[in-house]
Amino acid sequence: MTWIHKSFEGWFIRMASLVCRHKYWSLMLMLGLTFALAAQLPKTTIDTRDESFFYKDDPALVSYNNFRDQFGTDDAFIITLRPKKGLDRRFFTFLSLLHHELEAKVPYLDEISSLVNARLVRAEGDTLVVEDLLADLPKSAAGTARILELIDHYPMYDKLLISEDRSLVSIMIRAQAIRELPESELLAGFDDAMIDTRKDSEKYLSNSESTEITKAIKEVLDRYRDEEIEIFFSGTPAVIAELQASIEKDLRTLVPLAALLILTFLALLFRRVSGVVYPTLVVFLSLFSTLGFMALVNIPITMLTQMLPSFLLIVGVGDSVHIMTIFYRIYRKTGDKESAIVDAVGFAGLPVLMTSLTTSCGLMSFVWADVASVAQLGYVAPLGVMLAFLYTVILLPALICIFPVKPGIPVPEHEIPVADRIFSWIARLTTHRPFLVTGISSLLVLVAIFSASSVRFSHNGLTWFPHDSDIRTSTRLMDTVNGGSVMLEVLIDTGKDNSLHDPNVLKSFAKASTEVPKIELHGIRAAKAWSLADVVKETNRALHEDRNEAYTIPESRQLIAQELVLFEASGSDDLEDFTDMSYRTGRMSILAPFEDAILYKDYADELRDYFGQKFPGAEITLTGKIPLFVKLIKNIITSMAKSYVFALLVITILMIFMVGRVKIGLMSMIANVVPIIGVLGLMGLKGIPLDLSTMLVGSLILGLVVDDTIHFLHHFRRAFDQTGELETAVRMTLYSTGRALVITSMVLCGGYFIYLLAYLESNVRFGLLTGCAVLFALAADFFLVPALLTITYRKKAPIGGE
Amino acid sequence: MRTFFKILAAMVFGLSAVTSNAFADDPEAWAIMEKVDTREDGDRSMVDMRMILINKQGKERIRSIRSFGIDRGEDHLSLMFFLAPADVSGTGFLTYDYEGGDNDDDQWLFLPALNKTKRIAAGDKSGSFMGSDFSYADLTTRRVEDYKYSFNEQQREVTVHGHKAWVINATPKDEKVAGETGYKRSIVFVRQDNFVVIRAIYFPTNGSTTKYYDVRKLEQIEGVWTGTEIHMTTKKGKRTVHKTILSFNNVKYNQDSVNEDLFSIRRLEKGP
Repeated sequence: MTWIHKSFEGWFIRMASLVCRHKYWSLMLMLGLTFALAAQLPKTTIDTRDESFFYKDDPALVSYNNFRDQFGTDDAFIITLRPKKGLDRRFFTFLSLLHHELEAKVPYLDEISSLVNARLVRAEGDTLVVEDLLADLPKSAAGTARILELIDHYPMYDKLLISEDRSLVSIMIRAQAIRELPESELLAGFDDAMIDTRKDSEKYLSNSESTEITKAIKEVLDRYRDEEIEIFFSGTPAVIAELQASIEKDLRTLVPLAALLILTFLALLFRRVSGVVYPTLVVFLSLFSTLGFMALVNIPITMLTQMLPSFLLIVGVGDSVHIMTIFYRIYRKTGDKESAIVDAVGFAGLPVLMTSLTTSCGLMSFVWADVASVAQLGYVAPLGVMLAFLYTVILLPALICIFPVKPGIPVPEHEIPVADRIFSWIARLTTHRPFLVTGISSLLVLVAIFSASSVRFSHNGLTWFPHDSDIRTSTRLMDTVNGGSVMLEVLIDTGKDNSLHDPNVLKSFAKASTEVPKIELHGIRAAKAWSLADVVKETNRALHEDRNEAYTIPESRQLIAQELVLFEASGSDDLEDFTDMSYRTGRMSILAPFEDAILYKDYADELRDYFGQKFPGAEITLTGKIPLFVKLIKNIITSMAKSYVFALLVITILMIFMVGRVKIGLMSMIANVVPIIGVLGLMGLKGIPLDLSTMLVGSLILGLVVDDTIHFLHHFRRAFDQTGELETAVRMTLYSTGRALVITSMVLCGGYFIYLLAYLESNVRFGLLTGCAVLFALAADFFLVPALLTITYRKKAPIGGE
Repeated sequence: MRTFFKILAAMVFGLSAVTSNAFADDPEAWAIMEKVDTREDGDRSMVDMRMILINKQGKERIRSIRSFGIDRGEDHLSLMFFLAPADVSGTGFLTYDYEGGDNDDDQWLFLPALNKTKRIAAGDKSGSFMGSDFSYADLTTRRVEDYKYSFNEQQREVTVHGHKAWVINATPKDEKVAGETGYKRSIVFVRQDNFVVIRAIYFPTNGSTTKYYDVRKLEQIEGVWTGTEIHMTTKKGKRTVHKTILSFNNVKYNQDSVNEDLFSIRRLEKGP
């Protein structure tokens, strides 16, 4: 190891000398790299769509995209109105005006549905009338009563356009699924063989369009604020748009706070301008480069990558701190800043490289994740950490060589009695009572494991928002009063054309519409299920003088086929929403409440079984948002397992390599796993689930905390070799490294606890857990590591002490 | 007269006998469209039509329809009977397409399984015609002065199927027209030698689809240029989501048996 250390030290010295000799070139090189990458920043995108969590070949996404290609988007922006005075003439006028204004103002609109254009199929003598419910607004109380009567006459409207208790009325806005072709490519559209070669990200609407739609809707709604009518806004696309706004909001808060923390920390630590300005420049320029690289390779800011900016700032500044500390010490002694920085890079280069590598390994464990956006983090975050390292060892020496640096007043190095007394006490306790400390630690670990056993996996985008946020309030209202706000789509492929003309098949659809809302599992119960059968029943009733007893499926397949021709002939294109038009595949749409995806899994399985039994021989495909969420949960679980196993394995190997002894390497890993168990225990205690943001904590923290252990073991080994006494070695280690560990942990903790000020609950939870993990790791390094070292070394050496 | 297929060929952009260049954006484009409109298009027609509906997986569904058409003054009457598939055989569709004024068209559908004729009062015409890629609006008359015409900015003329054609943009003059037809604009390709619209691109008001109209076979029958194979393809982006191919056989004009008596409910209920 000494040989490796020496050769690395020599390499870093040569590199730093080279930088100093060509300081201007080095500065130009790093600035050039920064500008080249930062020039890409305007291309930065944000993606909060549920699809962003999936690889493009994930079967769940493929199936969802196929569905969207056929039927368009499944989910809708939902505007819910609660008229305080009930459904009177004024309300219907209000609804009609709002509906038409939305129709005119909302971009990328595919379909807008409300009571205004609700389909009305009725008989008027020998005439079949297909029209919109509110084609003519009621002009009298009798007219209003007639509208209310018609609403009661059409079960299709219930829970979709109006709540059963008639207290809520909804406007559903569906956006286009697919972007229009650019004008330049239009003429090529006559080519039969033309294939859409656009990437999914170019083909389907993105966040920016979703945000545009949301903005347009909100602008219209703002003009319609009314004391008599409450307005709520929900639906999964609204959640996605709100998420983007919240991420932007959090970035605006967290990045400046992280910068402030860094500035304060550097000012307190170095007490001179150069100590603040240069490291700050280094971390910010490396951050710009990382974000520029993300934009260059089209990696968007997502729920996962949004944590990068503040993370990289906090982690990156540590590199500079290590080198600057040593630099100032040498500079004060020699007064030669160039040789001081060369020596500092030579001395601290290897530890900084090693800590960067371990942190990167922890983050790299995400590369194999089954959640696409987690994998993106696995590519970008290690790159960010290594870029921070590169800027530290090249840009920092160049800046120091070119610009003035004052040696400043020596930082008082006298011992702090209180801290040293505590360190001495820890050294005595852990070396004299190693089994007691290990026992108590084990007990705490056992308690944590017990508590962790109650932690469950979860994915519920709504819980990322504060409990009283508008989007949660609106969704809760829809779920409680209307019974649902998320779609589950079932495609039933009978395998034969015109099968949907078969009365028995249609009757099965009709029966499913009544039976599905009765299936309840884990508290999930569909509000409503509808299909082609409902259209046929409406048409059949209209053909039989609007008699309610004719609201049934006809017994003859010819009549069904002819009624469908009649319905088509009436000019409505609604049939496209229900079948593939060869009448082979039928679609059943199910409206369910917004729940945790982990609960959806069993429910979706139950539905799959139900439809399998109802339509024997048919191919059943469940798609829509709910099956996407179900697959996401599965991907979260496998991603987490892969990431933890990889991080543990690689970091253990790195530890053994760096410590140079298998036994000590493995022992040190115990101390590094304890914080993760502690965090899981805390999650159990606080009822925090393992979701997209909290699953990151384990591997991320492992890569970070292991650095402290490396520092601790290195110093311990040197001190032990010098003194041959355990307590003295531990005390010396704590006096030197211990203090540094406290400082770096405070910065890391501060960096993560900043997240407690975030708007998004998911960020708050992430910050709390990661911050606590840093504290747990510090405690493990101070108590458990010395105790375990004592147990390992006690046969070879006296405990000693003063 | 305007037979089913004739309407398709000539009315794609909405042309009527009532023409005026008062609204023309580009007089030259207007003049071309006027010639399209005044072109001889035959009367008292009879035709056997095959409607092939193709879904995005390439699966075909075939309907056979017998169609009759006659002009009555400026109005157009049409009668269609489904011959196949068996489930809808005998189903008949009678339309009185009134020219001008605010009169809604009259439509009746005869359902043999119920042995009943129903008059249909439908609000707009933008919905699919019989599940095809043609909308009902594609099959009915639209007034030429409802549109503004100009040459396409990208290409003023192109060669289509070996013939030179003008490329003309047609935009509804107001939202009412766009709402009724379901199209916010269209681009038409007019053959320069015979003023037949041989291609068109439609942009529906709602949704992200684009519709491509393409006359694949054009024949001169009894002196009338007649599209005998017409494709209408609905695309989302570059992807075909659905396609309809109409092919016409036994096209005959000026048939004595095609007279006004044919276009009655009694005749509708009698079947093909």
